[in-house]
Amino acid sequence: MSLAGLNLAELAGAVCGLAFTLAVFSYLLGDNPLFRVAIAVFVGVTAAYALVVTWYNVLWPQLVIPLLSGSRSELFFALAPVGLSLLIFLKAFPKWSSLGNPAMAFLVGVGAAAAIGGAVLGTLIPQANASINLLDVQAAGQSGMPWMIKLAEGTVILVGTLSSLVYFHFGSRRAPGEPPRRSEAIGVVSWVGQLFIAIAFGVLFAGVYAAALTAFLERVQSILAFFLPLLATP
Amino acid sequence: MSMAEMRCPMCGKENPAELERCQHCQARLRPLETPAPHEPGQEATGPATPPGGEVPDWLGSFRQVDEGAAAPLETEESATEAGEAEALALGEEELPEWLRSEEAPPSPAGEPEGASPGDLPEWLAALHLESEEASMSPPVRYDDGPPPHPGDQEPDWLRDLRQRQGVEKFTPQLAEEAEEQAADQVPEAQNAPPKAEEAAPQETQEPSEGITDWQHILDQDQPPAKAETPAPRAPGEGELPAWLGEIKAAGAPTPAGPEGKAETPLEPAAEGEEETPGWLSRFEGSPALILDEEEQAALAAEAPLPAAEVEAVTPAAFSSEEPPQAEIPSSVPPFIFEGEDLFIGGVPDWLKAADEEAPMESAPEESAPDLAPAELPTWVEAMRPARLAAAGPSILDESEKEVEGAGPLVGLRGVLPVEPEVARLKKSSLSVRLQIPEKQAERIAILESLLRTEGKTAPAREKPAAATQNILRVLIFLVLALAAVLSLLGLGGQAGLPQFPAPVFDASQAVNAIPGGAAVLVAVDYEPAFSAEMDAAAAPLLDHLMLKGAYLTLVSSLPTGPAQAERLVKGVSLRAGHHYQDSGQYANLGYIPGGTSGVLTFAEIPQAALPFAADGSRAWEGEKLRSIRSLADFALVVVLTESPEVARAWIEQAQPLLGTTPMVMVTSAQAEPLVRPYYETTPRQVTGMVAGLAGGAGYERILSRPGLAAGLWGAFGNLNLAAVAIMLVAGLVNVISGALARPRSGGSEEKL
Repeated sequence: MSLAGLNLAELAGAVCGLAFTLAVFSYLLGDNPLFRVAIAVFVGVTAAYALVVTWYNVLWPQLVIPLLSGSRSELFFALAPVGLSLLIFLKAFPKWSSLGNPAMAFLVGVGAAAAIGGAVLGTLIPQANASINLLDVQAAGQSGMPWMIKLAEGTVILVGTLSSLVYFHFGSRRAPGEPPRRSEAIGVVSWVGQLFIAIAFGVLFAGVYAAALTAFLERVQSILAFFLPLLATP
Repeated sequence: MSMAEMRCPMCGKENPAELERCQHCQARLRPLETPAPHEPGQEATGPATPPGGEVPDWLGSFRQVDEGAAAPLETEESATEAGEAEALALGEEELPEWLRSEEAPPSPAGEPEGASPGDLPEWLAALHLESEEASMSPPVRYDDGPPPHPGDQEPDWLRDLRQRQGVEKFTPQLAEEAEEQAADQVPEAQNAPPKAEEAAPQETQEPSEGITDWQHILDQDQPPAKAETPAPRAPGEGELPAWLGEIKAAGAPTPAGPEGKAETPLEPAAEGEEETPGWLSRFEGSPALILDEEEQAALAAEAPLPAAEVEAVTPAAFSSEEPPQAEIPSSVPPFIFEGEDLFIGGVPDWLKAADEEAPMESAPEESAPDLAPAELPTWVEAMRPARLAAAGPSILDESEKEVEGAGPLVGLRGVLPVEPEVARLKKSSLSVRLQIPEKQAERIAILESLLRTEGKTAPAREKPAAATQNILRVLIFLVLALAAVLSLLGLGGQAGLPQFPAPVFDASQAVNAIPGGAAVLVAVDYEPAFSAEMDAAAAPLLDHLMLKGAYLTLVSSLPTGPAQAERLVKGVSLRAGHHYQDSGQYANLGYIPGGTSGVLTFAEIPQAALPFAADGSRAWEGEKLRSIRSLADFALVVVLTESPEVARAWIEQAQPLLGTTPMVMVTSAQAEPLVRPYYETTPRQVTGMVAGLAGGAGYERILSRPGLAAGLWGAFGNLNLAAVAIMLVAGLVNVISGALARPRSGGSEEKL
């Protein structure tokens, strides 16, 4: 896409993108005002945009409109969040902050319940079942995978899971006259778990590196896309 | 306590007056230096003249008395008893000639016989004569107006003021009545000093030259009837405070009539007219404190003053072997004068002589010749300070003490310290140092230097002008940027698309499984910073969905998500040529507030969680979403996120409610390791995964529709090669530099 085909808003966006990209790249030379300006603009724009979205996408359609022109049931359900919101708003005043505690307790309680329930039902139990099923040879035969490979894969996952958990076991025995030490068996298993943890962190870092490299490529591509039409124009 | 009894100074119990020792505690009742108690009827005498008839200069000045002085002042009987007794002891033969020549005729006012002026000391005798002359002198008449002020002409304004106040004319009849009133009021004045002060004759001060104009004005303010009374008054009674008057009234009753009183006329107010102010002249003759014999004895027993101190503060004319009790100084002098201010004409000779002699006598040395100096051990001598500080706090000079300005102690100096003595200690100029050997001093110096430098930060080494880190950073950037530019320009060669992994294939199969035109929920939950990678990974899947004609329902749990979703759909539609429109082909429901709770709410009742679309329209009333009651009604759920936490929230909160609806994850490469386990489970919680640029490129390969990911894949490969090359080169340089530095350090260690 050439610059000639862009409208004014797209052209402004392209220029701003180029300017802010170069400003962020200027951090290679150290901290400088350009970088600080770019960061401040990003933070400010994000906060302002979030506020606008919250108003137009949440408060106005889900709170104001039901209060103004909603039915009786909508009005009733809208008053509850209004009351709780006002109580939370009182947290800004030290004298009346205690009145906001019930609303905050309601929010924290609902959030914790949702997170814990989801973790138990969505992660712990399914992952435990998955680890058990990895050693199911019959299931492996039904899927067509050789049972040896399935067994080896399950064994690796089982060893990695157990050894990683053992690594975070810090129990020890105290011998008379000697400092507390781990038992040798736990030490060996935890060393294996340390290997698995190191590999996991390496994979995570590789993913971060790949994401950053992709972002870098996309920025270089955008710069080229901005300048190449100018260079190609006779 | 009656006069026949005496209180023991030790136990405080009463004893008969004739006993020498206390019958209770056997303590001496009378101090040895105390003279015999005064017998009733014995005449008191004034202070004796010095033997030899030598009169000091200051005492001789009293002889030059103005004949026209004011009315005499009566002295207290107890104050003159001691002096009179001494005068009797000396005899008339020892009187100087000037005193003999000054002998006055008997007093017409009934003066006691025994109290002849010849028995008085010369200065008291002179005062006595003056008082008699004043009493015999005719009363001053004010018939012609206010009396002329001697020496000064009264100003007009004062004369007018006096006339306005209506001064009564003085007549002989008034004088006689005033005398009678004064005689009647003498006992009252002794018992009630304030009244006596009010009844004191004011007009008698008029002829005095020492009285100033303002005193005239004050005198006129007094009641005129009593002010014109020329009767003699008790000296000092009017000026005594109440407490002193009580002491006097209790211990030394004065005879009421002029016959019975042993009066000793003192210096009239006009005596000191040349050197003393008028107001002060009224107090010159009155003693500071009048004590009776018993109180004197009690004072002598409680705090006997050394004879040397008494001699030091007593004029030589008054000194004797047994000092009179009336001369016992009180604990606090009524007035303290600094330096020679007391003596306007200079310090008298007798005081100079007393100053020269008194210190030698007043400070007896307490020598202890038997005590030998202690010998300290050597180790104690070593620890002994070389120069001790001052032995005690520096005592402030008398001139630095504060003079009380208010209260009962007004006029007294240094009675109450204005601040604690601790705070007033002057800092000693001497330092305390221990005598220590040189070795210890050196060690102390080393320790002090270590402690001194411990809190200080060592100056940082100066870095080279071009920091190595900055150079390497810029160098790496240039290498990567060059590789990227060359690859994007097609100069680095084209790389083939990667083989598609199983999660990507499963994701494509899940998309292929949805019916055409089915509603698909797409959650766009990635930050703008990851839009490059996420757009490349999600574009082929969205392209696939558009190919299937799916109705895209866009939601987001991030505030920036709706904008990202709008931009993503429009970009993919534009690049792939689908021309997707938001009216009938997709709906942007906007932002789901509440985070994890919001996701759960939306998963349970999506229409209640997001009733309106981002543009405010009622999207759920549309044709495609009208039948949607829960997430299970969607044909497919696609979650686009770079965050493992967001991916886990959707999996944990929404996936259990999906039923048979598959869930496909499009994630960043950094979140893939944490999301992958949900794909590996059996049954799978995540049906398919597209992770990062590689996943997008694989998906495009499956679709055989190269897109955004395929355009970046080649450059991504070259960039990875460049990064690997940089790592290898950096590692090689590190190894070589380490190998080169190792022999040096080894050699240096061997040398050490």
